[in-house]
Amino acid sequence: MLSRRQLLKTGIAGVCMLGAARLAYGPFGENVSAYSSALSDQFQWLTPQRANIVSRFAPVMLQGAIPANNPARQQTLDEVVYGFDLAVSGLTPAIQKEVDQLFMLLELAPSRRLLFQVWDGWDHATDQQLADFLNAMKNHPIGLLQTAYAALHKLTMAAWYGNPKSWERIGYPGPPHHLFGGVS
Amino acid sequence: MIIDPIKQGLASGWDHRDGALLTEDLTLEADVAIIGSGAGGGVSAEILSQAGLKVLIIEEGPLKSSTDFKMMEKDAYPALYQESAGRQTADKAISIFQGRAVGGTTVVNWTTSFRTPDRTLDYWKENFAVEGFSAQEMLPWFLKMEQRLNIDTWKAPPNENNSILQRGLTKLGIPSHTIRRNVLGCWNLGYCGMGCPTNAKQSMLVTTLPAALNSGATLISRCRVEKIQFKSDQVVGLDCLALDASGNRPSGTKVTVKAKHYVLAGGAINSPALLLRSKAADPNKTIGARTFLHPVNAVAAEMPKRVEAYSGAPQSIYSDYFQQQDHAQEMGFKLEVPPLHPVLISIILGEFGEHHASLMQRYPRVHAMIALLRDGFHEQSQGGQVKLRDDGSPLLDYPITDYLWDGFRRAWKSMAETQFAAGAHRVIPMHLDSPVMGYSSWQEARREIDELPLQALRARLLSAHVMGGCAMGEDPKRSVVNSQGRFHHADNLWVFDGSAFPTSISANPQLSIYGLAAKQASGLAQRLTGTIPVSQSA
Ligand SMILES: Cc1cc2nc3c(=O)[nH]c(=O)nc-3n(C[C@H](O)[C@H](O)[C@H](O)COP(=O)(O)OP(=O)(O)OC[C@H]3O[C@@H](n4cnc5c(N)ncnc54)[C@H](O)[C@@H]3O)c2cc1C
Repeated sequence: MLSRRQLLKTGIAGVCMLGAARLAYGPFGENVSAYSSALSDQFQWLTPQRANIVSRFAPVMLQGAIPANNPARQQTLDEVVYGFDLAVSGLTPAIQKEVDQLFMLLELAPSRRLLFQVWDGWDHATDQQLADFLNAMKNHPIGLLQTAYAALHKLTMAAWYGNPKSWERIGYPGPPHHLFGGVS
Repeated sequence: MIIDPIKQGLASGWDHRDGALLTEDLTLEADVAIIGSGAGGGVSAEILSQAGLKVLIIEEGPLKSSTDFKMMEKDAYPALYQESAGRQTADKAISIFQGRAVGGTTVVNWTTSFRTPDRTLDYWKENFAVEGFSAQEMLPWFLKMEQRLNIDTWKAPPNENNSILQRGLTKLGIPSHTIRRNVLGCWNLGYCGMGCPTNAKQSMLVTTLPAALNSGATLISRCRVEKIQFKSDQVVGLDCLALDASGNRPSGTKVTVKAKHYVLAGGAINSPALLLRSKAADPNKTIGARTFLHPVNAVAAEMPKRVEAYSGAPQSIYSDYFQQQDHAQEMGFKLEVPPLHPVLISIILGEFGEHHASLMQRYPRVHAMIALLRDGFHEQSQGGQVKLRDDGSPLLDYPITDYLWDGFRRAWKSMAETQFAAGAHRVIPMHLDSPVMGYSSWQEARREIDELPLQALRARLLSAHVMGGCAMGEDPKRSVVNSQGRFHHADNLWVFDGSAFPTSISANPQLSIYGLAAKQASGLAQRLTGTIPVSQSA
C-alpha cells in the first residue's frame, strides 16, 4: 500500500482527474464484467457492471458474517447485492446522484488506478487488496473518500443486517411476530 | 387481532386522497391548509377542525397504519423516514433522522415526553423577545396535551438497556429519573421506531389526525408542497406535486391549494426549505438560520450478561445531571439510551470484515448510551443553516465548533465511566479511531478518549431532534415568525412546528411541539371564528 503522503498526493490528483476521465471514457467506463443472479432482473438501480463491483466488495465487508462455503455463500451474496439495490432505490434523487458519482469513481480505470492502486479491474483484485483498499478509503485524508467508504459500508451493512438470514449468527431473535399470530 | 383505526376510519368515509393514485390535476380549497401532518400539523388539524373550520392537511409521506407496521428495519426506514433514514448534514458528519409519513416523526419516535424546561423558556424571553411562553403561560397547554396523549410516567420496570444507565449512575452518586411516555396499553415491545404495531403509541396517526378527519378535514398524502405563492403580504395558494408510488419522485400530476390561512408544519429543515424554495421575503436572512440538532454522540459497551437492547420500551430512564449546572462555559448534555436494532447498530459500528462481524456476534450483550448536547445557548453554538440543493431539496450546513467538540469529548468520558460503573467488560466510543475492541478499564478509557481526534467524519454523530430554522420572536431582525407563529411578511401564513423554536429545547422535543401547536392553533381558531375553541377546555 501507499504511504499516507503518497495517498494524499494521488488522492488529490485522482479527484481532480475525475472530470477529465469522465470526458475521455464517456459515461460507460472500461469493460467490467457483468454480474447476474436469479434476482438481478429485479434490479432498479444497479447495472450488471455496478452489481459486479458490489459483489466483489460485499464479501470483504461482510467477512466473517456470511457463510464461508458455497452454495450458501453465493446465495447470500446474491441477496446482499439485491438488498444493496433496494437500499439505493429508496434514496432520494439527490442522494442517488451522489451514489452514482461514487460508482463512477470506482468504475473508471484512471481513478481506480490512481486512487485505489487497483490496476487490472476489480475482477482481478484479491480479497486482501480489496480490504486494504477499504481501509485506505476509511482513513483517507480526503474527506470525500471517507464519505465514499461510509456510503459503501452503510449500504452493504443495511443490505445484510436487514435480511432475517443474518440474525441467527448475531443472536437476534427477530421481531416478536409470534405475539401477532405470525407475520403475514 | 389488532384493530386498525385507520382502516376503520377510511371505511367510515374519511376524505383521504392518495397523491400517488391521482390521474388528473386537482384543485382543493379550505379555510385552513396545513402543510405536514406531524406533531405540529396533527395538533393544529384537530384544534382547527373542531373549531368548525374546513381543514386540508397536505402530507408528503404515505398513509401507513398498524397493519403495515411489521417491525422490520428494511421496510420501515424507506417507508417512514426522510431520505430513507439517510439524511445527513452537508459535510456528512451528522446523520439526521426525521419521519415522513402521515403522522410525521411521531409515527417513528420513541414516546419520551418532557415539558420545555423553564430555563429554556426564560432564555427565549430574555434573548429572543418571545412573548407568552413563560412557564406559567405554557403550563395549561402542556397539561392539555399530556391529557390528550395519555402522557404518564412509565410504570413497568425499565428494560436492561435502561437499567444499566440507572445502575451506573447510581454507583457514581448521580441522580437519574423515570421517563414519561405517550402510550396507552403499551405491550413493551421495543419497536416504536418502526411504527407502533399495536396502536399503543399515542402518535398523531391514531389521535389528533383521526379526530380531525372525523370532524370533516381532508387529508392528501404522497403530495409535496413545492411552492408557497405570495402576492404582496398574502399567501394566495400552494403549488403541490403528487408523488409516484415510490414516494420519491413527482408523478407529473399537480395539485393546487387555495385557502384563507396556511399553517406550515413540515418540521425543522423542511419548513424553512419550503420558504426558501418559495422565495419568501427574507430581508434579514433569518430563514433556515439557527437550525439545531440536539446532536448526539454514543458509546457502546459489552456487558457480562444479556442486554437485549432491541426489546422493551426504548427509553425509560434519563439523567439531566450533566446539564443542570449552569454551563455558561461548557456544553451541557442529557444522558439517555437508544434501542438497538441490527441495521442501526451495524451501520454505527464503523469497522468492516472480521472485526465488525465479531462485534456483531456480541449484539445481545451490547449496551449503548447517548448524550444529547444542548445546542443553541452559547455564542459558539449558533446552529446550522438550511440551504437548497440544485433540485430544490433541503440540505443542512451545520458546523461543529470547538465548543461542541469539547462537549462530545466530555460526554464520551461520562458515558464510558457510567458503563464501567455498571459492570461493562469493554467500552467503545463510536469513533473511527477508537480501538476496534474498545477499552477494558475506565482508567484506560479516560486517558485514551483524551487522544481521540475531534474531527468531522471520524466521530459517529447523530440527530433525531431537529429544531429551529423559523425562529419565533418579536424582533423581525432575528426571527421568522412572531410569538403567535405568524410569518413576519405575510398576514395569513403561520408556522406551528418544531422549526419555530429559537434554540434547541435541551430535551426530547415532542411535548414542547404539542404545547406550542396547541397554543398557537387555538389562537388562530379564536381569531378566525371569534370564539374560544371548545377543545381548549384545559
Ligand atoms: C427515531 C426518532 C425517535 C424520536 N424519539 C423521540 C422521543 O422519544 N421523544 C421526543 O420528544 N421526540 C422524539 N423524536 C423527535 C420528535 O418526534 C420530533 O421532533 C417531532 O415529531 C417533530 O414535529 P414537527 O411537527 O416539527 O415535524 P414532524 O413530526 O417531522 O412532521 C413534519 C411532517 O411534514 C411533512 N412535510 C415536510 N415538508 C413537506 C412538504 N413540503 N409538503 C408536504 N409535507 C411535508 C413531513 O413528511 C412530515 O411528515 C424522535 C425522532 C426520531 C426520528
